[in-house]
Amino acid sequence: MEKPGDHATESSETIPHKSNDLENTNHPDESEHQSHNNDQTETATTPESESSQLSLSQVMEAVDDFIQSLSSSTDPLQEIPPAVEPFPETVDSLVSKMESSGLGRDESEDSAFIDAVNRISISVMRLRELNLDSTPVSSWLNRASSVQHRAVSLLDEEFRHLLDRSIENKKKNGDGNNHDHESDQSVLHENEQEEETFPDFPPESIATLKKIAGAMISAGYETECCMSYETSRRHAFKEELAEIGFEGINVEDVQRIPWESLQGEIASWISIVRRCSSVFFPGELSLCSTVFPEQDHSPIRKRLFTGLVSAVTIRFLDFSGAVVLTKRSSEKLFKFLDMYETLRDLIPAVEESDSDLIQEIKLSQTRLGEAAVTIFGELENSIKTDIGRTPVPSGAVHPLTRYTMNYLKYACEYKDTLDQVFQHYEKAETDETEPEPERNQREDDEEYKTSAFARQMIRVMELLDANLEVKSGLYRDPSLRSIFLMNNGRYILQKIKGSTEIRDLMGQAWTRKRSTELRQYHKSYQRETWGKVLQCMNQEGLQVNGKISKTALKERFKIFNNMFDEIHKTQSTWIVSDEQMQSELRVSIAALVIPAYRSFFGRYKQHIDSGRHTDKYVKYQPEDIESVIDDLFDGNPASMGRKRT
Amino acid sequence: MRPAQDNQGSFLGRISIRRNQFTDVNTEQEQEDLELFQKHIADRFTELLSPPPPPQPPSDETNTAASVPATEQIMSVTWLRKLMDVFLCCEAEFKAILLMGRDPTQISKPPFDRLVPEMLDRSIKALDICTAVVNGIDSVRHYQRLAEIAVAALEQRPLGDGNVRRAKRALSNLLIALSIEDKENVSGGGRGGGSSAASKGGATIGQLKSSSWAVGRNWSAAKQIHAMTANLAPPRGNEAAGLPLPMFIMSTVTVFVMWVLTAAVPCQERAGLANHLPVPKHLNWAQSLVGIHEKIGDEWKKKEKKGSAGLMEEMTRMEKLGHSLVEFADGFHYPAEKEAAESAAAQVAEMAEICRRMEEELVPLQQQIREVFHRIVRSRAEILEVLEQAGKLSAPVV
Repeated sequence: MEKPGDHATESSETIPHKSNDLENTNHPDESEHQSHNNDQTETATTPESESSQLSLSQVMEAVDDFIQSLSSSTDPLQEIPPAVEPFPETVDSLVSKMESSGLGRDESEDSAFIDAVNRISISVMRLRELNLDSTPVSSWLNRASSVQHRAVSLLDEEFRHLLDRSIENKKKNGDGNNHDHESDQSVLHENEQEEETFPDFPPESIATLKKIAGAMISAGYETECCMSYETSRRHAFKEELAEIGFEGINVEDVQRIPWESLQGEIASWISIVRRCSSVFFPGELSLCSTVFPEQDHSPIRKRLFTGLVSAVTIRFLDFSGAVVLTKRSSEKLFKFLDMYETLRDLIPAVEESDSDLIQEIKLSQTRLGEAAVTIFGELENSIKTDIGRTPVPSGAVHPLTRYTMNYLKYACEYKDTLDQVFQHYEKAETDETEPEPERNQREDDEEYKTSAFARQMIRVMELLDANLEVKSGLYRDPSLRSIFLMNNGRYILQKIKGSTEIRDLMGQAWTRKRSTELRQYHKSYQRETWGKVLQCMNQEGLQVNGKISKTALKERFKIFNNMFDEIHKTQSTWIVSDEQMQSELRVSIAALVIPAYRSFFGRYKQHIDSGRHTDKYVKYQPEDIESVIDDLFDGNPASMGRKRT
Repeated sequence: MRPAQDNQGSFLGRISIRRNQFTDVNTEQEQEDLELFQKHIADRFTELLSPPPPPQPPSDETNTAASVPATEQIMSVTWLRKLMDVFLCCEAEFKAILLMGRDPTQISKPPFDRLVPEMLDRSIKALDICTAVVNGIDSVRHYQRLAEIAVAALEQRPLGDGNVRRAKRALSNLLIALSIEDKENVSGGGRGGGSSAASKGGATIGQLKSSSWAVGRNWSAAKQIHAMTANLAPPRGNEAAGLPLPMFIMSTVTVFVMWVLTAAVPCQERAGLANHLPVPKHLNWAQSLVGIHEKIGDEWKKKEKKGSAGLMEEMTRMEKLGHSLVEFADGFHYPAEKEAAESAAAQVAEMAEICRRMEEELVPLQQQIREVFHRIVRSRAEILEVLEQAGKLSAPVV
């Protein structure tokens, strides 16, 4: 054995240590330890610690050589080299010192300490591997492993303190913006945008954590290290969830609380899940990678990150599962879709881990999707079952039309999601559905082919149309029937034009078709109401033997007046709420009636003019016609001071 | 859904034809199904109570003390996994009886208008218990890791003071965790966990508790189980021969399985559960179930007094081994005495074996419980769907 001898001469300064027995070595250390405690001034401790570090570094060198010799030497080791012999006690005194001062105060001291612990660990490990039968060696090994345990326990404690410190900081800082989380979603959205550092550790803590983790793992204390890390991070996460107001709410409570309160819970859920996707999970991953950076720490990183992600994610899924179980109703659709989207966006963050929950997330999504489909189906149902027997007065837009269209408009804000949902659902239902007859007919339409949701929309529209068709039958006056259909059709068309989403979804062809239909209602209204009016201004039948028959003429004027009055009376109570359509209607009526009346009036008025009671027959000057027409569709029976009969 | 809407007339016609068929089939086929169901329930639980001998003679392992291999014993993790399988089988069979080929309106009429909602309410409660138990298994995994530390430390050769101290630290934490009183055993963070035992060393129990999840504030497994049994009564008279019987059986099985799970692992608030579980004693299908219940109940009552984290067989043995290994650690002087070291080594090997089994089976058990959770959700949805259909059918047709 060459090397130990070499060292004995080289590291002569360690001889005093070496010659002392265990108790003696402890004494100077304890005194140093005390001076460290009593005297806070740096100057008093510096020379001493410098001198001890000098000797320490030399001991460490000796240990390094010793470790080297353990793996290279072929002779069985009989005893520990003198320079290395007191090393356990040296480290023990370092532990005592560290116990009182704590890590993270002086980086070089920390490093020296960690280096010493690492050397103890390596020596212990190598000696164990050699499995020697020498009593002095075994005794040294026992001392070394004792010290190692003491040192690593200290590191473990420090590790947890450092990890927990971030939670405490968070608590102090977090109070300020606490209430923001509880307000509505848009605010939460803004919060998300702001720069958030998570988890919030000062860089020096991170550096220390890294060192400790490395030392613990190489000492074989991986399990303790991971346990401390895991416990602390879970705790931090729980705090984080509680802060946002998401505290495990169970399935039963979710069923019990009113929707209003549940909405609040859903809002916090959405907010926290989003923050997990964008901030917390990536933050945890990077913390994990920083604290356990080594190549061979990779499985540890994965395991810790996966464990945390799984534990948290399962909470989220429990909640969404509980919400889906609640009774379905139309107002829930949008919240369900929000949740669906939130889960979808969570997947990439969870995929960074080895979590086996991806399938469960997708399952939860499917459930939310199915619920959305059902709720959407409820809309269809409510259209089908809306079978009131009383027509809406004045032919105005039916509440069902308003409700359906507004609902669809909101739904279209989720059109991509709904499309996914319906596609998924259709795929699942493929076996059950019968061949759809509309398919061929619509194949020319691009939108139809691509979008499952568009098909749903069209179905709803068709149902609505069919329902309105039936409702229009409640009006006995065919003109009012047309006005009703026009009003509703126009409302639908305007809603569609007003929302890019619906417009794109339904396609241009569909919109064109709706416009054509509207024009047809318009025409049939004109025909119904004004056809007869125009007919009475016909020249036919007015001439008897080539001469104008005054009686016939008077009769015609009378008929016109009566009809016109009647129209005025009834149709000014009708409503056309869309201003443009109202004016279009009036203009078109005017264009139809005024020239006809003007010409009728101009041609035949003179024949009655001579007689008395002219105004008995000629009630309207051509100029009056326009102002009467302008009264129509105002929904205002009082405009002419006439009573309704 | 659509065909039913579009041509309700013909759909109704179809239903009424089927209904006529039912009356014919009802008496014979259904009786047969019900008897078969009861028989299957009885068989499955009989197998759980006394598993058939293993096909091969047990190999020479350290663990030959019990006649039944430890893995098969009641409350072992393997057994619990079997129990979950049994539950899933029973549930599937029950659902087939309840829903398949049945006229939807039948289960919306009395007495089902009362029985079905009650059953659904029980299923909701079972879901929360599943969640609590999954959380509980997380704690068991934590115990497993503590035990693994002890095993790793005590397997070191030569065994030194450092190793023993390390093992002792882990074991002390393990024993504290295993023996916390039920009342204290709330996963919620609400309680001040300032117990003296948790003050030093290792990831403390206080910390562990504060990092695990609760099923909600004030939630109590005991209360839930209690509520699940509150309106659970065997059907009488006419009902005893029909559908109410399998409903009662399935509900009993569900409550029982949930009760076993809460007994097995740490679970939020379960005080008093040891005594409380009314199981129907005189019914044929329930014989073995009652047998299992009595076994577990007795064990529970014993443990309840001194506090226990759970009755899972592996945990119980872990606790025993933990105590004697702590004793070993306390009396340890370097170098180790040969005799003490040898007996400790055997215990360490047993502990290692327990850890290995836990490592293999706890996560799958957790997954099975999640599966049970999903199954219950799915069934609930299917039943509701049928009820809804029934509601539409019975609503006045327009």
